[in-house]
Parts: sequence; structure tokens; C-alpha cells
Amino acid sequence: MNWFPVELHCHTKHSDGDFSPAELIEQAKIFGLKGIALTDHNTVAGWEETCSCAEKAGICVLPGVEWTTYFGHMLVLQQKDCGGWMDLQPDRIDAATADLRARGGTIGAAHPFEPGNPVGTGCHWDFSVRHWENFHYYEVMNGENPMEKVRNRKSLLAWTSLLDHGYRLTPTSGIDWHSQLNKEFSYACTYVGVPEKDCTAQGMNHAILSGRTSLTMGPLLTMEVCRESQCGGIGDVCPNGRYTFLLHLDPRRAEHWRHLDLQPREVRLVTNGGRVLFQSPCGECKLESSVMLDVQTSWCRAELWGVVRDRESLIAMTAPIYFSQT
Amino acid sequence: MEEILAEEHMFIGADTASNILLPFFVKPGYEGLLFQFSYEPKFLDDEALAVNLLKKSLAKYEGALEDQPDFKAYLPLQNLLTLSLFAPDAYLGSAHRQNPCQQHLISESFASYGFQPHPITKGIWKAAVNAHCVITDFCSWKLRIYALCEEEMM
Repeated sequence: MNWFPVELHCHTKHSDGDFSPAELIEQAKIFGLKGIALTDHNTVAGWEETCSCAEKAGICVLPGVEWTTYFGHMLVLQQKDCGGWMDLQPDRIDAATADLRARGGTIGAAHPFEPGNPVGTGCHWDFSVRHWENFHYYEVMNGENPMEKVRNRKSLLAWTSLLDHGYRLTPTSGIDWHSQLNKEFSYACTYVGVPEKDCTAQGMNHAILSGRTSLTMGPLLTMEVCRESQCGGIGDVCPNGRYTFLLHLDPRRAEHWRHLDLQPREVRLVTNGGRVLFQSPCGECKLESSVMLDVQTSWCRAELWGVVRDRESLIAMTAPIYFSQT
Repeated sequence: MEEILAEEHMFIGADTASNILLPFFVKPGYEGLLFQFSYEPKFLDDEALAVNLLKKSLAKYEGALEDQPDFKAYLPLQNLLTLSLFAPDAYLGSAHRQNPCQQHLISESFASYGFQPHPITKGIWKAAVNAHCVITDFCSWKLRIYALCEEEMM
């Protein structure tokens, strides 16, 4: 599996971003990103120009929209028709997501615990979602210094609860990129796992649909499980049982975010209810950990904890490997 | 340049999270549509009231304010209205930005940021004024739409 750094929540001058499409692509290149999702508010007007600029720069673009409704913001990729945003009511979300999904859209909940009016207009997720299975992803980390904020810690808990209820929502991060990044701040980056050697829009989308993401403010954290001749990776579904978990930390991947003072301290394996199955100290130099565990729960993710901006913090987290009884 | 719609209206706080849809008829023979949209006030100037509303909002959404020593960074609180456009056969987009005084042009080959180019086809078009947030007691807005012929597009 190849892991590519991407940013899945970007704005341009076509909504309230500071960048033209060309400037956004230039910024993505500067930060070493291989792909972006263009998600301007309630418009697809920037798709063509952004894709054209990106192609020349060797960056792939997943075209999308941030449905900026009055009751929450929803990221919809690969679905052009977004005129329904203004009529979306809290009790109509399931019908809307079912329709978007049927038409091939990739659907994510954006910053669900961002404060609503008057701080962030319509930002807070007030939809009455009954069918989370219509969604593909959940933006767990949003904005700058994500894990310092109550809203993202709430998102992490809510997403964990959804996993516990059997919903296989892929976690993503979003800088929610509107303007120049501040070098004093931490930002999360989503890595997408793509089997092919090059990052493509189709590969990015497939990674989200297949649950192959790893979020980080620094090093890339990945995980595999193996038993006998069977192995599974992030996003896969494996039978319950006894596995060797292989955790891998790649500090070289942090190059684009090297300015940030990160101190990894501990890797953890976390399962249903946020229960820690395994924890192990982890210095910069220790890149591999393995442990044998009997898994009888329904999902397991890896986490990297340490110090970010002088605070104890989650630094990186993989999407889960799922486990089932059959 | 022919004025084809002139609308003025006042929103109140209760209008937050609603839209006003304004259909307008475009006759054949035009090459462009010009939209002038503005609203005021932009900001809630009463800082004491703004701080009070902000504290209530953050307490509702994020819990204890002592965790947010920099909460005043959210000031000033502001109204947000946006303009969205529909051609007879398609949604063209929205100008989702904070500027309270905007001008947009749509033609077959050009569109202002936020909108897709579209031929100026005869038929019923629609403009929507979207009230994302009305934080002041009143927020008045104006929309003027003009149809442009070929020579006026130069």
C-alpha cells in the first residue's frame, strides 16, 4: 500500500477562501501534498480551473462541495448538483444523503461540533441523522491546532460511538483551508492508502470509500494484522481471533510539517468504547512495534500520543481495522 | 442595460436559516446578467451585547468559557447573507463570502467567482437571498438585476 498526504477540505475565491484555484494548488505543492479535495461552499464553479491547474502541477483533485446548510456542513465529493443545499432541513438529511449516495457522491460530515450561529454560521451539526450508513466519512479533526479544541475532541468521541454502533465511517482531517497556514500552529494531514504507485483522484476516492486513511500532525502511522498466512490492513474486515498487530511509524513523512515541535511518546491500540488494548512507549527512533492480541471486539485503531505545542495530545490515528464474528 | 428586477427587503433575527426566492423573466437577445447585491448592517456594533451573545453561544456549543481565553477573537459578530442563482435549467452556484456589497456578472463565457458561466437563455431565472445569520435586530438588503446586450458586455 502506498500512503499519500492529501487535504480533503479546501476553499478558494469561489467561496470565502483567499486563494485562487492556481494559488491553492501552488500551496498544496509547497506543503508536499499529493492531492486535494476542492470543497467550496455551495458551488462547483471552481472545479474546472482547479483541475486544470492541478494537472499541470502533478496534484490530483477530488472535486466536491461543502454543502453549507443552516443546520450543518456536509462534504460531498464527486457530485455536481448541489442546488438543494438551501432547502435541506434537519429531518430531511437521510433522504438527501440517500439520493446523493445513489448518484455516486462520497459523503462526509464536516466539523460536526464546530460552534453554530453566530460564531460559525450553520457550522454545528444539528441534523437528525438516522441513517449514518449513507455517509462514507467523518471529519474528526478540523482546522488549526485540532486536538486543542473541544469541538474536535467531541468529534472523536462521537465518531468512536458511531464505530461502536457498527457504522464504518472513514475518519478524515481537514485543515478547512481558507488562507495561508500559520507556522506556529499544528495542522492534521490525511494520508490515503492507495494500491497503485501514483496518487489519482479515483485512488483518493476509493481510499475514502474503503476506509484507508491515517491522520497525523507529523509522522505517518500505519498498522497491519497477521495470523498464519492471512494479513489485513487499515479498512479491511477480518474475522475475530488472535492476531499479531504490526505498528509502523514513518517519521520521514513529517517533512512538510517539520517546523512543528512534536514529541511522540506512546503508541496505543484502541478498540470499542475507546478502550486501550495495548500501549507501548515510543521514541523517535522506535519505528516498529508488534504485539499479539486476541480480538473479540468489532474494530481496532492505532493511535500515537505525545506532546504537541507543549501539550499532551493525540498526534496521529489510523482508520480502524474492522473485525467480525464470521 | 435593462433593469429586470429591483428588490429591497428587511430581515429580522427570526429570518435566520431561511431563503427568499426571487424569480425573474429574461427575454431573448441578451448576452449577460449583472447582479448588484448589498446588505447592512454587516456588524453587531453593540460590543457588550455581542460578548453576551458570544458567551451564550460558546457555552452552548463548547462548554466552559474558561477553556477559551481568546473567545473575543470571534468578534465582531456579523450578519451573513449570500446570493445564489438558478438559470432556467441549472443551479449556477452561490457567492458565499462575507463582503456585504457584491457585484456579479454571468454570461455564456464568463462568470464571477462562485458561479458557473451559462448562456443567457430566455425563461424564468431565480435569485435566492440566503439568510445564514441575522444577528442584528434588522438587516436590510437590496438586489438589482440588469440584462446586458452584446455591446454592453465589452
